[in-house]
Amino acid sequence: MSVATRITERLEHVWADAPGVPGFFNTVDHKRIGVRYLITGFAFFLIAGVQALLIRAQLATPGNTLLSPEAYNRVFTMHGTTMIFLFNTPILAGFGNYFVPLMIGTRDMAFPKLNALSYWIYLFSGIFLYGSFLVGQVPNTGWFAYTPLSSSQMYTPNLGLDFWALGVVFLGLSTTVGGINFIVTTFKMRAPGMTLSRMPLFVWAILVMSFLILFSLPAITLGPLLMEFDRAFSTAFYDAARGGDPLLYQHLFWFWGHPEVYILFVPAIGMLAMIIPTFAQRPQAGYTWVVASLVAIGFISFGVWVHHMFATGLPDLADSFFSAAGLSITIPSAVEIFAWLATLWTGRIRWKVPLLYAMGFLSIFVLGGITGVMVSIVPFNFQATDTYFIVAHLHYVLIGGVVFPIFAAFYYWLPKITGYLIDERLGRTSFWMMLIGFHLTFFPMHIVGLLGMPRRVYTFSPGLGWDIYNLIETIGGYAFALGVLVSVAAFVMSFMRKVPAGDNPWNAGTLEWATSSPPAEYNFAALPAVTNRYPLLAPDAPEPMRPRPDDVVLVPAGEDEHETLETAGLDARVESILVMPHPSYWPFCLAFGLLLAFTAMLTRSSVLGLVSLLWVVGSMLGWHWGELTPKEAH
Amino acid sequence: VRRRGSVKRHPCGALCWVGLVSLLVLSAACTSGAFAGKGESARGGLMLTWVLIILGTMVYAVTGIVAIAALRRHPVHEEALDTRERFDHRMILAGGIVLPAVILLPLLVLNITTLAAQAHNGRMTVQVEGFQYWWNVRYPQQGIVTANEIHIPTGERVRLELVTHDVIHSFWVPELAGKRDLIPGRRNVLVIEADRPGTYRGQCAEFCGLQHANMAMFVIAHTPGDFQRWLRDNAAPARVPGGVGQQRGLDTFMQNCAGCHAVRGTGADGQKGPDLTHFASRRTIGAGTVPNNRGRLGGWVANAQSTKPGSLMPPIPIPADRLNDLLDYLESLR
Repeated sequence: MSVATRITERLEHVWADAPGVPGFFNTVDHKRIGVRYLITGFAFFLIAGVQALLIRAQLATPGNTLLSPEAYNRVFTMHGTTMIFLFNTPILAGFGNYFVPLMIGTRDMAFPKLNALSYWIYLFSGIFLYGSFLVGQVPNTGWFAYTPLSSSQMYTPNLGLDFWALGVVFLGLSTTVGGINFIVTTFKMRAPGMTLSRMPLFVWAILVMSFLILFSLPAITLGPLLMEFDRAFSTAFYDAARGGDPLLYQHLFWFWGHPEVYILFVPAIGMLAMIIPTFAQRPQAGYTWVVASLVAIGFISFGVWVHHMFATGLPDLADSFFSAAGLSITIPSAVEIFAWLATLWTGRIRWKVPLLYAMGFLSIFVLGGITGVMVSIVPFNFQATDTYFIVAHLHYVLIGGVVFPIFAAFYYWLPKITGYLIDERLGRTSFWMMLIGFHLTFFPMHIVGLLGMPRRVYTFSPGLGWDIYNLIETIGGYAFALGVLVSVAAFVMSFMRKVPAGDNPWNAGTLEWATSSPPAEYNFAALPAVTNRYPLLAPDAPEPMRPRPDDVVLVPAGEDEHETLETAGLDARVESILVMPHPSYWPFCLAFGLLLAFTAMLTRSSVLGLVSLLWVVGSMLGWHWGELTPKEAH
Repeated sequence: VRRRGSVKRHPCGALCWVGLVSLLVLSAACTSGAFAGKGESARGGLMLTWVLIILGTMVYAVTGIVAIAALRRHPVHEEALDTRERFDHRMILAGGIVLPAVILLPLLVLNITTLAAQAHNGRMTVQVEGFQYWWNVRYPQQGIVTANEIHIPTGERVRLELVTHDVIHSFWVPELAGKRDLIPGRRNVLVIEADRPGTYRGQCAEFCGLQHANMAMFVIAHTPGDFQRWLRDNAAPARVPGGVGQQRGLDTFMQNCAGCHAVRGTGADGQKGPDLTHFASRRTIGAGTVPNNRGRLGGWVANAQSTKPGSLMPPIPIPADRLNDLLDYLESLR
């Protein structure tokens, strides 16, 4: 038996999860958790997509009675809530979970148990929010849930908004924990030699996203929490008659809500900055420009929230300030776009499906950016806000800027995750259907919005000149959905076709392609050292799956420790060996305890509250029990 | 050495053109709504809208052309590393910094000047209060109260005071002005003006609950002379019932409707629903939900919930003959 085989067998033994049910519940493997995020997120994407189709069916003709007003309001509320909270943010975290450790050449996230906890909380909060359908009391005031409509039992008497407010707070725990994990992982676990200036751009993007999460999430926790206080205990935070202020909620909501757009868009930039260079067969143009603009976007995104509130009647001076901030964010975004155009200009292009989706992004997102400039202009915003113009703009930004990159990422990275190539022809078909369907659905919304059609209406009168646009939008929406289905078919069929992808099917340059496809449990047999931005394109490319005698392999001789390297935050010097936790049931237990706690708050049940308190405290004690005796790192 | 390779047409190029053409269609298609600009405050914004659409189209075209060119190039030789890097920097600087800066700075100036030029005051004040799901309209100087219709004189700035005591609504008549929210605890002001007589439709633009979709209002602009006549007619109390049938209708009204609706000149002074003093002169029932005619009105009185589920108006179970008298009376309230 060769040295390499002995090493990999030993690593396999140390890092593999228990098979079957125990492994399912106690795994802390970032790849398994990442895949769960991807599957759960995609499932929510399909659910919210069906809701979108219901919306379009209802609005196909004026005066349609397919959905009752109440049903329509529930559907559009859950469509937005699901897309933002349960699909977009988590699925990007899923890609981050799977690929950040691989890209930086380490064996897991910094806090594997916390990582498992974030996933379980995400799953449970999704189930919690959708539990509202089981009891027939579904949130119905829009994904933004403005007060006092949402905060007063007088206007929204049933549990729907309690499900919403508590669900959002619950999910926020998951996002926050995930953000912290990404930051520490990025700063402390990069491969030796991977200085910050050699870090893959996707990792930079996830880092910026994580800081945005940390600074904005408190606002989206506080806003709905105060709403729940108003609802449950009759406090008056948002009740003007008793000295509160409904506008406070809007400030809190958008102080998170606008950075949230970038929490979604920044990782999408990161994905494209990995994909476009690969298919242009050259390094990303203007790496430093791209990083600087990611960071700039991160900062500026906190200064633009009021442009969602121009029509509330704030002073002109305040409006002008936020307008200027909103315009200035165009510059870093344009830098990204032209960095990619420069990459394509001097690159040699290979037309594969991921690049198609990336170009779809370009054709849609640029228009979304332009309408973004338009709505930053205050007098125009007075007309456009709360109309279908905004619906068009936000879908150009979020579908063009995030969903198309996510599909590009699926076509790009699924071969790494599953080990199988995806059928190109199905991919192309799906792309064209989605692209054409998209423009058909959302372009007419610009027009119909400026013609006077407000958002969030369950029906409209005939004779206002809106009919034909709405019909086209509906047809486009169903074409888009068919395109998505073709992609789903392509993904599923890749498992049946079983065309092996090989380690590096695209001839890409970053470390995730140095592992096997799918990667081994321990990611890298030999922990790679890095000397440039695209290690696999260098002449001395690391071969981590074929360890050589002088490589760092970290195979413990006696104990079954999970080990990886800790490196310095800036220059990635090796600092010490990290001993990582083993699989654990406690993250699942703790998340379940929290689910009980939030259910107790929802049902105002003190018995359940007490049980959940004991459960949560017990889980936390159990979580830390094994760590109370310090272990010697070696 | 930069050399053009074989020009291979890829459908991706077409994408950008599709978008471009669509933007032009947008410009051509629109002659109403926010594209009409039938008054001073709407016109300032409208000019800006066209500037934005034209600039936006140009930027999209430039980006699209650069993208198409980039995708069609097939460099045969790889450029030297430093040549390539210099090119990268120039391209990013030109497209990412200079291009947006050159466009955005004048836009910002135009933005602020247009905003500063908007009127904040008018000779006449109308108070508009938003309810779930209708608009109460009050002319304080004349003591007129009506609903879902705002009558204004042409060529004059009218100051709307916007308040609400339930949830947030937003006042929007696209042809006359942009939006302004009605927020509990605040008194917002919007100035509107119409150049020519006409009826301008608007509707609530902030989601306000179950029937947000059916919360329309109409601004009706009259020539100053007609407007004075309207003021005179509407300041007057309701007509007295003409005949026995209408008198019976009034009695029915007092028993069943007066708790919520006011009719000036009778004892009816309910405040929960719209003032009905000159109800028959209004165009619609239920804030634009259905046209105001006898058939619709009968249905509305008998069971408003089937027309506008979730409105505060309860079903009024009264026998057919009394309903007939009630409708006679309501239709006499011109």
